[in-house]
Amino acid sequence: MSMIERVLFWIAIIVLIVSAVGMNKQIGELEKKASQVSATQGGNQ
Amino acid sequence: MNPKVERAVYIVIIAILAVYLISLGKKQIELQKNIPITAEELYKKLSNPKLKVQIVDVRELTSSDEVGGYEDSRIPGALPFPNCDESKMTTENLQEALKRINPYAYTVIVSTDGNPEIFKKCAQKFTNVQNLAGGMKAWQDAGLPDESGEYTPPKAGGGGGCL
Repeated sequence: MSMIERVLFWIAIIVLIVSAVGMNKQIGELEKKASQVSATQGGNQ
Repeated sequence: MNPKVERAVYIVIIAILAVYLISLGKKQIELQKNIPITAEELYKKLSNPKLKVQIVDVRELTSSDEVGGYEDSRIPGALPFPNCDESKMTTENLQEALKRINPYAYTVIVSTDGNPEIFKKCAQKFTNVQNLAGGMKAWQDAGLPDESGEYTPPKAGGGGGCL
């Protein structure tokens, strides 16, 4: 396996990890918003 | 390490990460369904030409109530889909609108007042969907631009409904 191939694999892995971390953050924010929305809806009923 | 084995290890790691990312994406879409979008947020999204937003208006075509029906006042570019019921799409123009509705596109459902029951019914037909909080009433109250009249499919080569 050449060095270039190895570097390309590592770049792909890092890109995937960074996007997973970013998405996890976004999901955390969405979960917060969703719980706020459900609390508001529950309060209105 | 044997190059073949090393390559296989890298591919397996990438595949696992890709599957994890897909599951996160699905979770994100599911969460978004529970969070209504406000009229201002939708306006911002529509103003951004990089974002593709499909607006589906599920009100009746005409209505005598304060907000009115689809033909009285609607968000520019909105597609008519009264009550999310295909059987109501009787005219040629409505049939054309039905053909244009993409169930896989990011969609915002517009009802009269953002009724969650109507949204739940319509959300089953779309994969990535959000409800407009307060519905068309909130859009009108915010003083955001609207259009009226019968739905006419855009002509070939013409631009879409933009703000």
